[in-house]
Amino acid sequence: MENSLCRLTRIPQEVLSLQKVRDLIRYEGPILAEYRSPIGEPYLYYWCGMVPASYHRWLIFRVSKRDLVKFISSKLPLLSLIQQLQGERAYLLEIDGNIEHKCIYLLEKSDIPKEYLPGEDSFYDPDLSNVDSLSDEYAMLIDSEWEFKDLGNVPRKYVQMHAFLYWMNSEKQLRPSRAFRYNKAGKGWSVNHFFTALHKPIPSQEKPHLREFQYSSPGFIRMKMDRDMGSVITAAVTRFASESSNLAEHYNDLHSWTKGKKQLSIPEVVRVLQKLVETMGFIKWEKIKDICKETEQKPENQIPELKNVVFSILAYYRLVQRMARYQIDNKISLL
Amino acid sequence: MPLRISPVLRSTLAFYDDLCDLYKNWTSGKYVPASPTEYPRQSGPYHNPLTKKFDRADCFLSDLQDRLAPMTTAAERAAALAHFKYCEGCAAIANCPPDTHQKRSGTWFRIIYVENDEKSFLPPYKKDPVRLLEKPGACTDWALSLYITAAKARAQYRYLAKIMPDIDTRIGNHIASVTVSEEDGISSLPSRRSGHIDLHEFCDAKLYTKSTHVGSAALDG
Repeated sequence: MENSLCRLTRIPQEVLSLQKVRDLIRYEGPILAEYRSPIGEPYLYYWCGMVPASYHRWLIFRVSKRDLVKFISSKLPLLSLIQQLQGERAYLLEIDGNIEHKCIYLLEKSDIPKEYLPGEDSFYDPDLSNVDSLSDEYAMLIDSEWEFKDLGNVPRKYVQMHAFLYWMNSEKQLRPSRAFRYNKAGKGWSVNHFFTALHKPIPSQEKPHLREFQYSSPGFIRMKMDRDMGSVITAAVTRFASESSNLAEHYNDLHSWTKGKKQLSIPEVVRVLQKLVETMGFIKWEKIKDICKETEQKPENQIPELKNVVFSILAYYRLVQRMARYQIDNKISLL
Repeated sequence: MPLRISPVLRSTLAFYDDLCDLYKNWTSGKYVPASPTEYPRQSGPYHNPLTKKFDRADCFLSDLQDRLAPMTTAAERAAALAHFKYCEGCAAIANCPPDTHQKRSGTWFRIIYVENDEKSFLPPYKKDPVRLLEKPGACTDWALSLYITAAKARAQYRYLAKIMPDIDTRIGNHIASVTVSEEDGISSLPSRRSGHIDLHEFCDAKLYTKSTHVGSAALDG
């Protein structure tokens, strides 16, 4: 094979200038590692195996940041990253046990030996990659034309959705139940205060944190957060889009009741609320029931308290609706 | 017969040699501060603004402290790690093995080569050639990878097989069960999702003698 490859006499500056960022896949040593060039372009080092004369071969190739995000989000296989080959060239570097560079070959796309290529289903699995820092990474892709207000709105709404589902989807005890009764100095129920009251008690390490943001259509937002939670948010938005007509009917009934335009008995309100919650999914009805039960203990407050619960669910409805709209408009793709 | 000196002892002796040289130079008046580049700037920690001179005694004491602090720590760490099989490697890495590792026992599983010999039970750093991209590498490179169940070990194998087409020659393609006792080393808690365990072996551990070949790693389940 060596005879057919273009061996370089010196290690190119392009390779020498790369700085290691992190391992992406490990098993008793690195298998796939991310490097960055001085101007921040990502490169991957992919282990191709041993050569009998005591060194290892690594395939070095450039990838786009967005493709890397897609790969880490398990949406693009490693094989595609190699076959797309940004820059149309790769290097095959031989490194010994002392990390001395022995020799390097320049490869065109067609030169990459087939025996080095991963399988077609070489999708990233953070659970089996033995890299702790990557099991808590989640991302969304950015596309289309954004307006200034989207820069603030998308992350804010995402964090609000996370806060709501964090308490309503998990087995965790609902600590901020008072958020559902929020009534600021008699001025009425406030959407922003409601979501803030849900977000605040979440432990810092479980809140989403921004890791990287690139706005150049196409771009991405990379966050540090629990991947399972990220998957729940994505699934909730997808489900909303597919059930939107059923959901709208329940939403309108409840909205009219809160405005006094429609007369419903309390059991009817609870029934419609349950339908809305169950159709949206990912909210444990038991938790809503617990909040509603609290209101039963205070009959004098029954209607105002139930109204606050309904307000909360309707606010969440509008939140998911907005996120689904961003997705339909192709402004974001939740991975 | 050549004298065999362990890496820990060698580093300790080098430390004392270095210290003796420093002291001899000081008493004989030949001491030169370790940071002569400080001189032209007429400032810095050794410069006395009152005398407008560099205080050699301060320089010496500062040098002495600088050398003592890390070397004492390294020597203490090396001594504390002496009962580990690969102490020389662990001593060079901060918090290695991690404080969270403890003596644990159980029957765990490992991906091995078909021969199931000593080679199958070498940590990454002891393999020839070492697969590294940077030095000193990670603490986990001095540990053995084990799995809480055979199914978890096979799941790891299947994932890696998608990433690396010739995994059989690189990592292995069989599974062995290993009966690990508290005398064999200290280990991490099993990873919640992958069931992976890192085991740092003690000097006397011979895990391959306590292993049993279970079957091919490519089997389902």
